[in-house]
Amino acid sequence: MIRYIIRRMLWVIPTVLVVSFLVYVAMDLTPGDPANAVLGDVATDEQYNQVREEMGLNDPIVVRYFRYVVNAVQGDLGTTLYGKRSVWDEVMSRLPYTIYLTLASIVVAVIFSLPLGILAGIRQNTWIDTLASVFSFVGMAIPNFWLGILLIMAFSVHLGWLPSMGVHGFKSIILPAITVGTGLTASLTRTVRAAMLDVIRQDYLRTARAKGLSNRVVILKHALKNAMIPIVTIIGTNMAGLLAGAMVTETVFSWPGIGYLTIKSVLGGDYNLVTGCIIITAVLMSLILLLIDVIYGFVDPRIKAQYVEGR
Amino acid sequence: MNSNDKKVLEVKNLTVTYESEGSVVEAVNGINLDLTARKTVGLVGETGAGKTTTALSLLGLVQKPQGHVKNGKIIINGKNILEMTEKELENIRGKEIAMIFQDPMTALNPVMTVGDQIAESIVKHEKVKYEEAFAKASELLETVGIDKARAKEYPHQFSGGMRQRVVIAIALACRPGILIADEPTTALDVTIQAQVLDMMKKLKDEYETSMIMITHDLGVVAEICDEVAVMYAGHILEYGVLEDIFNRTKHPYTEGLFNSIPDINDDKIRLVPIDGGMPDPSNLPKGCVFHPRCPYADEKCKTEKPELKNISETHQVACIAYDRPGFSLGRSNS
Ligand SMILES: Nc1ncnc2c1ncn2[C@@H]1O[C@H](COP(=O)(O)OP(=O)(O)OP(=O)(O)O)[C@@H](O)[C@H]1O
Ligand SMILES: [Mg+2]
Repeated sequence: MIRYIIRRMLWVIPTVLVVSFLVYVAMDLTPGDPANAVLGDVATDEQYNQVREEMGLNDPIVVRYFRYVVNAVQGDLGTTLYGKRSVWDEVMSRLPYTIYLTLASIVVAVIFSLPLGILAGIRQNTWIDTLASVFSFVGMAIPNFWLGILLIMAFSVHLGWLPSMGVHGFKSIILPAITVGTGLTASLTRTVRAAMLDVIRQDYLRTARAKGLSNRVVILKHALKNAMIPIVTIIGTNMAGLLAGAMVTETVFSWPGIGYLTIKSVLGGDYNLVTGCIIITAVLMSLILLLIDVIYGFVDPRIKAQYVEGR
Repeated sequence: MNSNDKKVLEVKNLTVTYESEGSVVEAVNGINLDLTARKTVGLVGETGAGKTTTALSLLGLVQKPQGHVKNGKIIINGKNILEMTEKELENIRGKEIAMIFQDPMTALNPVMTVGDQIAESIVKHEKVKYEEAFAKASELLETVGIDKARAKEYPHQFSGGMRQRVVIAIALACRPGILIADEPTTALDVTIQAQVLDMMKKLKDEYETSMIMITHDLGVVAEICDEVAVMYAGHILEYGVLEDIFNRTKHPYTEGLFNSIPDINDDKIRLVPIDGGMPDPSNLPKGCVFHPRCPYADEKCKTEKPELKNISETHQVACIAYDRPGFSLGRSNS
């Protein structure tokens, strides 16, 4: 298992290299010029060329990228365009907020979708099942920014119960987490329901009942343990969407995470910062997917066995 | 009545249907069945005869919402289980009556260790701590011929034969008075079949368990059963002690079952399969359910429903052909 995890961690390296190269090239191709951005409009050609030379902008892109990577592995992602702060420090100071928001929205999704999906599955074609599917469709259709604004209007502006922006204790996470988590809640509810419907017909549930176990134990222990396998898969495959959703939501709620920082740096044309943000997001994504894979091993002993054998 | 002849299970006029969108499958139609303490009754019939459905209704486990136990009585140790609450049913399942399921590959929960799955039953019925139950479960594994160190392993780590042993261990965990074995060896290959059957026989005697053995293998019946009920399309067509069924066969369907076994000692006796197939259970024939496939059937069989009648103290048959003077089966006097 440990060897498997180490091997998977090593795979993060080429993934991030590919992503970072693509981002680096894309940033290079975008119109605009860092030297211009530094100097403003009033520089002479001489000054301009000097700055380009200083910034290494006259070298071929492969050389520049190579230099970037060498610096990056030492924790140096360059400096921000404005204020000349370290990009690494800037991104790292935001990282905990994004992780916090992502985990909180997963928690929200699990808290709502598990009971709803289980009930819909074991009471197929009843009102609760209908309610669950209506909720799922609506939840998947609503765009994050719109839901965020709606929640702010209802709970911050109208009722005044929860803050609409920034970070002020636990209350602040509630609305952003619901905003990001709604899409996941919707697809998880459908997954849990389908998994329950599938599991509930299995012979081993009959075996469990034949032992004299109560319905509650049969559902919450035997059925749910098996249903966890597709549930974890769906959380994993939704991670990309979740991080993208976080980017929009962080902006709506002025949540100081990487997403908000990315948007701000794109708007400000801060090349180094954009590249840094996206690379760190890619690393984060890879690590979360690895975590999901490891959790997988714990929910399904058959998969764990493969890890061990397949060293 | 001798106390050894105590009835542990009585089934009276049991009727079970599966209903869905207008179609009604008549899976079990008014069957009667008695089980005497420590005896084994064989329930024999082709696929779709309603054997598993009968077994499930004895545990109150006929699958809802389609399945309905329409009427009848199922009396276990003097109590009618059809009148029990869910709570009362939970208390007798696994304790007074337990079941070994048909397919060992799907009967075990893939994400729980086998030890856990056995221990659960012990925790429920014997009110012991989990550790103690797990230790007992390990001992049980040993009893069914599996190294107890493997209690911490998962079902996918076991072969089909071993999984069936685990399923047997689960059923026997609390030494139930009644054991229903639903084709316990059908999914296994022949050498393993014999081992598993031998083991069940031994444990059944040791635990003084009464058993209903469901099978379509007459070889298994000959080996293990005291009495036999021949089931077809949800009806019991013939019922008797082993010798009645094997040596004094009375029902044309039972005869058909024997004729369809190939005889490896004599290749001149040809295999005579029964003509046709099982009737559609949602549209059973009028009269005798077997008449469309019966070589002896006449006009009367198409309209008149035969009752199960005693022809000796131990032997019952449901066939109106015996109303005809001098009627006998081709096989019966050989
Ligand atoms: N859950 C269900 N819903 C609808 N019909 C069912 C259901 N379970 C069984 N049946 C039907 O009831 C009839 C009896 O089925 P049952 O499983 O009792 O047969 P069986 O004698 O055990 O057969 P086999 O030897 O194949 O196990 C069959 O026609 C079957 O299609
Ligand atoms: Mg069956």
